[in-house]
Amino acid sequence: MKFNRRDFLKMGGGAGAAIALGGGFWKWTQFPPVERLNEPGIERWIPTVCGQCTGGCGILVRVIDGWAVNIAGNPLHPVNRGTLCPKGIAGLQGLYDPDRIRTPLKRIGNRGEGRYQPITWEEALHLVSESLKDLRQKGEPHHLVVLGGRHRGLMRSLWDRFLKSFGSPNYIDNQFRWEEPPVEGLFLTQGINSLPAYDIDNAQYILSFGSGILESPWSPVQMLRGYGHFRRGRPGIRGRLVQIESRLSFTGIKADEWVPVQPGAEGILALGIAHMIIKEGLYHKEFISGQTFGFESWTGPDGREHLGFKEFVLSEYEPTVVSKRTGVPIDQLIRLAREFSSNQLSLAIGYRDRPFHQMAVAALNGMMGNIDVSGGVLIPRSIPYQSLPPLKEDAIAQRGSSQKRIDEGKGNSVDHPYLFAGNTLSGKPYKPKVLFLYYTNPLFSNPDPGLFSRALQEIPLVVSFSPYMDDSARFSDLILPDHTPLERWQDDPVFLNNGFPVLGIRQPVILPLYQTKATGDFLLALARSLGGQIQKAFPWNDFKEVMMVSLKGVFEAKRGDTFGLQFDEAWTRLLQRGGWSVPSYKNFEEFSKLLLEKGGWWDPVYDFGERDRVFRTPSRKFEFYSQGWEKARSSSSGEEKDSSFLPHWEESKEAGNEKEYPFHLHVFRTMSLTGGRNANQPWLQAMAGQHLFERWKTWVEINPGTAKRMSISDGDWVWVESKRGKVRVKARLYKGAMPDVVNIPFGQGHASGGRWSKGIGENPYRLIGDDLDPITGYPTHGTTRVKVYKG
Amino acid sequence: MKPFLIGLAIGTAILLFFINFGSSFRPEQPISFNHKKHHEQGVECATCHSYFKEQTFSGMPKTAACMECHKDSLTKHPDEEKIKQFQKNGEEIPWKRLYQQPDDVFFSHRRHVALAGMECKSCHGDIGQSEKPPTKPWVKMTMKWCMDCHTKTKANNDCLACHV
Amino acid sequence: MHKWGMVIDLDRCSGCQTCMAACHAENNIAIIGPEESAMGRTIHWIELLPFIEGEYPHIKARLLPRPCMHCEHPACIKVCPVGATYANEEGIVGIVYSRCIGCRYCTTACPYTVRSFNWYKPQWPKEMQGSLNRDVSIRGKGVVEKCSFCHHRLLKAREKAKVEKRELLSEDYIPACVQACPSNAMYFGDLNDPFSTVSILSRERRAFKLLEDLGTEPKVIYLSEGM
Repeated sequence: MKFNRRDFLKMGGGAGAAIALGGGFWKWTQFPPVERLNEPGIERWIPTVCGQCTGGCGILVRVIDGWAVNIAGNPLHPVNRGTLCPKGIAGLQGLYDPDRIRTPLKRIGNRGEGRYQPITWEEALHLVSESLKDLRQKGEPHHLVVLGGRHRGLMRSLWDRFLKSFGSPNYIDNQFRWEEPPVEGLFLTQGINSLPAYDIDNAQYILSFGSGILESPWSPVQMLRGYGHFRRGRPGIRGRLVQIESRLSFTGIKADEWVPVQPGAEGILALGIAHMIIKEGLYHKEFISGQTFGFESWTGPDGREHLGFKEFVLSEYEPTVVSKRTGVPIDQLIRLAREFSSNQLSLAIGYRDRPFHQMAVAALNGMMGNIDVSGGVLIPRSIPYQSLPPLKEDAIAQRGSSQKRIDEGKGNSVDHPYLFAGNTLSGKPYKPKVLFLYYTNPLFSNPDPGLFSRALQEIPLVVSFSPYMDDSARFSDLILPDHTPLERWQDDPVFLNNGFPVLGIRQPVILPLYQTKATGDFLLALARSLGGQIQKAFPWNDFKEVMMVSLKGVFEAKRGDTFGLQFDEAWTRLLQRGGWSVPSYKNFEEFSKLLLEKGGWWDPVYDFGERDRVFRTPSRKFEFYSQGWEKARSSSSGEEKDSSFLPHWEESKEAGNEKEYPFHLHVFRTMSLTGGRNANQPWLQAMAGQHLFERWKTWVEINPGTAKRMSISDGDWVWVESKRGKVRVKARLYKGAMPDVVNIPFGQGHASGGRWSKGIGENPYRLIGDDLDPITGYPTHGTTRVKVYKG
Repeated sequence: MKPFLIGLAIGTAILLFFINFGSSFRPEQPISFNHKKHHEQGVECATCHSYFKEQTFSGMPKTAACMECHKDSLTKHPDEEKIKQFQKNGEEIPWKRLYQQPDDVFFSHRRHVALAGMECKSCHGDIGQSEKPPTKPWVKMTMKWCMDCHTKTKANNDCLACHV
Repeated sequence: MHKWGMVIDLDRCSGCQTCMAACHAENNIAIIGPEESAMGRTIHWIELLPFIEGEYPHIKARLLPRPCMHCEHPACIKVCPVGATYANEEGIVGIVYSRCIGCRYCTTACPYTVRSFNWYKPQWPKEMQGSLNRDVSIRGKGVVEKCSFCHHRLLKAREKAKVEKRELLSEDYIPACVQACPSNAMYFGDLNDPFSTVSILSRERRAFKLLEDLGTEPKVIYLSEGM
């Protein structure tokens, strides 16, 4: 039988008729009910602390039927007061990331091949414990190294305690990020080794030297809340923001004025501004004479004449010199100096540039007396934890701990992850045998990640505690997945922009989804399995117990209160001083219950004028001439020039010559992807480069004029090549790019990871890493040169 | 005409297939629950369906709720043993849902019961008097069915009041 | 009768895109992967739009969060052939997804490009499915969607107020974006109440609306940067 088209149509008509006739019947039969994705249920809102970045925001997680279904800010938490940032909201996608590691894993393939075999926690503990026992038997416990990243609070104390009782001096802090507050600058001028608070809420004029205030601050929500207040929170006062940076960032866009300078040249501009302020006599004379050291020339106890900051800057950093180096016109420079010094509450904020450039920015604050005042640089008090009981070290531990650190760092704050990597390769002073990676991913997020992968090759046992298959976990022999932040107990000590100390409490909002284990709990189990003095040093059952013991100190401090509504600071101070302070709890049980209900504790008072807390330099003053650094250095070298202890400009050795590599490379961070830890969260991927509508890839921003000269069109694929390597990225013409600078965002280019991050984009840190700063041991920012060509 | 007839045959076949598929689905509840008996013992609707006054949904009884009365054997019914089995295994009784709103419809029990003062009966029929668990909803909840009532009672007839 | 409206203070706005993420989480917006994104098929109910003018180094750039304007005279409604989109008495422009036939006349008509089309049935890995918001529908393939001012929150808030036998207060109902905004740049409330924050702000000298000359009368009002 043959059908033509007409027949076919008729046939359709017949079928239609039959179905239509049957429709009535169809209507009342019921299809099997489908399981709804959005089934309603009883909801609970559980307070905890977000773990998507270091911000420490309080969140409320909405839990229905054992599922976390939404995240909102905790209105009582003083860091964020009910608001959030994009990463915080995407915390759900971090928890329910379908590519999480679900059991402990043991490597079966080659390093980096990514072939693993699931093992039990008992096996995992046994494997680690045996290799650690082996180290101690051979008398080389110092061959255990912990590379720790961006975490804080009691976990850090626990690691230190573990290493001390085990016998290794090697906890290496790998937190350094250019985008952080200028910690070295703070050490050089105020002798402090922790983060300062910038009271931007109360400042009236902010001069930002390349600081990513609106994209990559350490506590984004707090900074953005402060920004809102700075702009519009005070009747009749609108704060003014000037952004000095080599790219028109979001901070630059929102600023009142964008001052483009070449990458890394912010420091010399700060010195140029200092020059003008001194020349015009606009500095805060009272503060300088009373609370600073080294501004004027001085004579040392040995009778030696020393150069003061004033003369040094006047002679070295003439506007013509600075203008030539930075490209900032002289009149603009003079105007900035006048604006900065004529505003009552002005604040200079830098980034983690080379230490003496940081110091130059800090010196601007020192000159204007913006230290320890409202709207200035504040030094927060720490949380009054009860310290853990003293521990006994056995003979092996004592010998091990007294060994040289593998990165040859001394004292506190001298962590040199790059020296660690280099020394691991050279074997001097020794090669590590066991490496723990906790909250750090050096194979991705350190400039020159290749160095770290070579170093890891040299270490027989690498253990990662990452809950996700990041690039470093993929290079490890054992992966012992931690709970994600929403599944675990943790303390989170932070502080506010106005210096108030805050202690957030992280509690599990749902049961762990997989066979994961909190690293704190694992560490306690490990100590038990090692026996002897190590076991005795860790008498607690789990991390929560450690936390509760330490929190006794907070209760007994008789200061502060659990989170509550806004308050009157003056009134609180009066009550506390008078000893009439009445917190909302009477005993420790009430205190700990309220902590979990409200989300944490805070002490809403900042004590101004405690000089010993604010200035921990040898002179107990703000130092324009860093005696602290002079002391730390004195053992290593002899006579040095005065200028090497004063804020000064250090020309970088440009990597590669200008002819071959005509562009500066500026690597920047975006609010959504920041450190790349959250790259497997599609909500964040979907808005990574909103100013150019770029998402799910890496692009390079090129000035349109430059691109035209090179016949590169918007959207072309280009190679960006440095001496170290090259990456293929999408060219985007961006008017906010300087003609001789190309900009690449950080956060993509994961070699492993999940379905939404693996193989997406490129990691620009592969292009960087030649120029290590002698003091920080970290690559310097903005010194890499590149060339760009189509391909 | 012939092709039309062939088409008609195919169409009927398709229809029969769907009818068969559709009607063969008669959800069998895990427990042959007798509403009437419970009602006669003075058990209120809210005892088992605990949420209809406070939430958008009414909720199905948890095993623990059953056990409050059935801890010691009250009847000789074999299903009582079943409940105990569920409890022993730490499981909830896998009740089958009969009333299913389409995904884009927002329906609130609280709004209808607590605020509008409607009785369960108005939508669920005389379920309280049934001796066997129903295998299909008392009424097919079409939008027309909802709107008839909304119009009659002059309740909100804004689309967004129900479609989210 | 309420008339819901939003005010966005661009001087407070930092361009952080929290509003975008909050909206995705709240409204079960589909995950659009790299390939589909490259074809311009992303869905954002609120999106940060960049406007970059001038030439280096004198650039005037502006970042504008753009939700649905919920216009008084919406262009989208007039073109909908099936009545799937309409404005309710309180001025919220809604979509009844089960009515939408996916013709996309409205996406073309909207001068603010706030409407997106679902090219596929949205998919979530099974590990994520339970974390969807239970208060909001999951749109199917072939329908248009856009910002609803988180209308489901209004339904809940109103019900709650009624149960508690009180009037609906302004703080009872705010959309997810406004709630999450870290720099407090977004305000939401009743434009019919002359004393509400949004009403007061909408009368400020800095206030402006997008494409005002089209006569759409948006209920989203911006406050410009600067003094």
